[in-house]
Amino acid sequence: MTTTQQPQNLETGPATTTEQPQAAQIEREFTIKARSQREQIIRRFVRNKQAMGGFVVFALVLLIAWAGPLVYGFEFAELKPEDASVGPGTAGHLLGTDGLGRDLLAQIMRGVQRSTLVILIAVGISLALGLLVGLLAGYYGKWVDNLLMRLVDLILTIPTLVVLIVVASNFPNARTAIGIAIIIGIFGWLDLSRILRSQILGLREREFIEAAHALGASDRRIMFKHLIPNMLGSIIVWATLAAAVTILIEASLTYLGFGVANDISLGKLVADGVSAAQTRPWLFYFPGLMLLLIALCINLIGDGIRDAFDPSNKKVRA
Amino acid sequence: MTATEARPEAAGREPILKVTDLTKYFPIKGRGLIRRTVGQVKAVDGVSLELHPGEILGLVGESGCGKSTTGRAIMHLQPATSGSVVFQGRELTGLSRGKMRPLRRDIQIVFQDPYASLNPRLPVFDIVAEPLIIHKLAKGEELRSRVRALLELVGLNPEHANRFPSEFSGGQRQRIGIARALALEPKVLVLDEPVSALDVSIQAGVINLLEDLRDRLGLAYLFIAHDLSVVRHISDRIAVMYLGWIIEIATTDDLFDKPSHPYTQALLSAIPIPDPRRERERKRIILTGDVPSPANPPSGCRFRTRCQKFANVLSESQQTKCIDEEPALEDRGTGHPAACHYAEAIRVL
Amino acid sequence: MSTMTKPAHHMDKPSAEAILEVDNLEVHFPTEDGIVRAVRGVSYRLHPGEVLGIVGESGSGKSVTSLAIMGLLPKSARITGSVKFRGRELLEMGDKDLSRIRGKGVSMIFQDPMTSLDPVYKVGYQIAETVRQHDKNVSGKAATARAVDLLELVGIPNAKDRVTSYPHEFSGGMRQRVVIAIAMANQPDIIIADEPTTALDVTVQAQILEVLGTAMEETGAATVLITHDLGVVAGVADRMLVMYAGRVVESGPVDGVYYEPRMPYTLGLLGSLPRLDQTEKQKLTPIKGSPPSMVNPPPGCPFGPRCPLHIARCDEAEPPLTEVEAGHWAACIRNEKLEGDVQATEIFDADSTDLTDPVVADALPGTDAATVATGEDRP
Repeated sequence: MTTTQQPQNLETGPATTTEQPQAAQIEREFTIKARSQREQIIRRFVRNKQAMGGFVVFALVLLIAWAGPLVYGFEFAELKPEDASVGPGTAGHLLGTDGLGRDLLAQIMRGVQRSTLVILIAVGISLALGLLVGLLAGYYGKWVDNLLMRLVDLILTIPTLVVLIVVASNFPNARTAIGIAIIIGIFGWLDLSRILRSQILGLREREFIEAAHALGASDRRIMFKHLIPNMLGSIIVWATLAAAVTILIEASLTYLGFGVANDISLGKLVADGVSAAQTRPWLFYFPGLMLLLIALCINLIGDGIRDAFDPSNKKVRA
Repeated sequence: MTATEARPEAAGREPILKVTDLTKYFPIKGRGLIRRTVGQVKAVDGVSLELHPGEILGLVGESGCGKSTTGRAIMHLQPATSGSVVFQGRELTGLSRGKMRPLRRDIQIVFQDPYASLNPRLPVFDIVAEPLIIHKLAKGEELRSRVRALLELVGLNPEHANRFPSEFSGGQRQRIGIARALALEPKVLVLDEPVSALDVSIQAGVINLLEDLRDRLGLAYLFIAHDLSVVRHISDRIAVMYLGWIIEIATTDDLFDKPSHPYTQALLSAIPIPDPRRERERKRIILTGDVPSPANPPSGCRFRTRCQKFANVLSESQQTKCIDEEPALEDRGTGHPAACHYAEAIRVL
Repeated sequence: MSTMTKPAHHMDKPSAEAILEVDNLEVHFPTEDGIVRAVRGVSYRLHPGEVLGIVGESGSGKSVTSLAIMGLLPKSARITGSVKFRGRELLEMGDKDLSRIRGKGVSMIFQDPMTSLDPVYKVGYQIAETVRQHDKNVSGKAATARAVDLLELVGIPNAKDRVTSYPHEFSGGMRQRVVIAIAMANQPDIIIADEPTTALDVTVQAQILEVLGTAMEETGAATVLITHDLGVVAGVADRMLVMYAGRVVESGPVDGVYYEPRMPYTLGLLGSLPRLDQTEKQKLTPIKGSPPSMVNPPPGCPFGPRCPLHIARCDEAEPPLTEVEAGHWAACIRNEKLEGDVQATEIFDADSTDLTDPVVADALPGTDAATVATGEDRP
């Protein structure tokens, strides 16, 4: 062939056009299936045995706590003096009763319900406060950041439990499950705000945020459309871990006598059961084990979510 | 000194973008509790240029020369320290975000890294629709059809609009970035290293696309890049930057035929050509040392510390001038402006 | 034209003894998405004093090939085939023997100098250590003196003072010079340079290529230069390999490959490069689509789906490397279509759309050979 060769002289000219669709088809057929990020995260989570185990057990616990009372014969507040302090399996009481003849299983189911409510309220409040402070400090920087972060530093120097005890003892009326949840929530956002702030400092420099500025996006749009969705992983992980911590803090507070007083919660059941641990062990161990089980499940789920989100965790099956 | 002399046919027309004495300094903060400013990084230090409608102006230089910062200062992403940016007769510097917003419809930017410039959590449709939503230009069915048209315009399959950026190749992502920038039908695009993160076989497709779009939509580009081969291919005029300054500006043919600043000459000679015989015969001008810190640039001519002419050709008295006097960007008989006291056109290629 | 189908010994020059023989090298990485077949049957010979360029885009397997040769891949990688250095099989060698060969026999220069330099030691100490590691008889003083000599050789000003500097006190270009000094320290037989200038500016790249030339001259080492930049290879290499989808798709003397490429991919690559020395404007000819998935490569020719010369027969089997001219090999069954001076514009289409289906890029653990751009200039 020579330099004067023209395209049409090449025998491939017409051939190319007819082969084209076939070529495109082959590419589609033999490239690996495109997966969205969300699908990948879910896939990784589902493949994580521990996390899925925690998830299934936790789901079962919740199911029993809400559906159980509908089929179980005893009410949690029902006093049955004739059945007082019977052991597990006696007179239809699967887990026994306390000194006043209240059924323990019914109380645990009620306790799980109330504790779940505590978690939801406490984590919800912390999430809102942490998001607000983290976003403001990270996004606006400068003096806003300085002011808010020094405030966080200040609060962090005080042991949380002491603060909670002082607040709880000064507001005796607040000592219901909801009241304690609010108190825990108000003091639980500090670490979240720090996590989010440092994440935003990194995200802020990313070009897609700059691109949004170049398009004239408002601060609110940048925060809600661009920043928060990109921090979703850490927010979810934080929320699960905070949930596990909340249930334990509630129990500690209640055990120390500054927590739930006029209500039922898992912490309250444990606290009440402690004094009977020697004579009527079921009153202490069943609520205690339930408490641990829930905290463990939530932790496993949280670890699983973190691993699923973390791209550096892309495991190599060797 | 501006570039109009270099392009006589453009002189009659009004530039769409006119940058005069633009500077951008970044403070260097000291350590300790009270972070005092202990110095300034002069990233951009007095840049003037003009961009005419439908023109592609290449802005080239090595890392740290301030070319990207210039683009960002023009775009108001990093507010300029001083100087003026006049766009379609309106001064942009000092405008508030609110006042700037409507003007953003006419001047848009495409970023270097197609992996970082798209929000990984948004599907492509949302990314391309975002400018239209922000400026309230379309919604519902109209929004959908306009996004579809934009994806077609940049040569992507509109059926892929519901996918996420991670599902696209680098070149396709850069096309998404271009579609987003074009959504507002701008008159000027600042292209900040739009192809340097892409593999060559993919890069060519994006370059062709940018050329097509310029021809079809009559856009003007400020094409920022470090790769002179790409810039030569696409630009009408080229400005070369070094340490925050424009050191030479000329039409593309002039710059390559008659490079007049020693730095431009060294730059042209340093770029390898994919042609074994020519490459073996080439004589390289090898510069010594590295680019000085923009926090503490040399006095007088900033290039003198690495200048082959300063070191090997100039007499002592001539060197004194380089040390003491900042060379202005002006035509010293080479046909176009160059910021060198001893500018002299030579053939490098 | 030869019809030899076994590519293994295709580059044997009967006259010269090869110093490095790579035969049918395969590297697989097991990942979440399946097995990534990063290198699929690469064979080549390196002769003493020769400069071999390996060219390919990101993900073509060019870097993985060299890491496999040096035994530097993560443990999860499965490597088969044979790599012989002076007749000794490297793939079966233990860590101890291998590290003796690294540095003394084969030196490596990476894209990022900080992968080879230890940030906590002075550069002089690091060079001296390399010298002493392979020759315990050298005194500390002599090793330091050698370090100064080496630094001078690679063009570091005031080498005497700079031996006591730490890597972070150097600029990127200066660090790469230090790495080259270390690579030269023990007079290696082979220098493998993996994208040595990719992270650097062009004027610094020119300096480093010059220093690399000095290093090759001083040591007389055979060199493997791995790069994505067709310009860099053109001026430096004697022979070159073009890699695509983990395979060598074309190889031969540099002039032959550049002026008369016989694999459509090579032609497309050259046609998609804007040329610094091109005076009249010519449309670039991009290659449609993206490189294939290395998990499920298409049947037949891996370049088939992007190739304008593609016909049904291309999908039947992977085309073997065949000798199209003395010493010039191409893996294309239609290579005769490219015989003579065929321009990329005659084959490829200069249209600017990219309607191909999006592809999830395969992740290769620890072998990110992305072509990093150098244009970042924000402080």
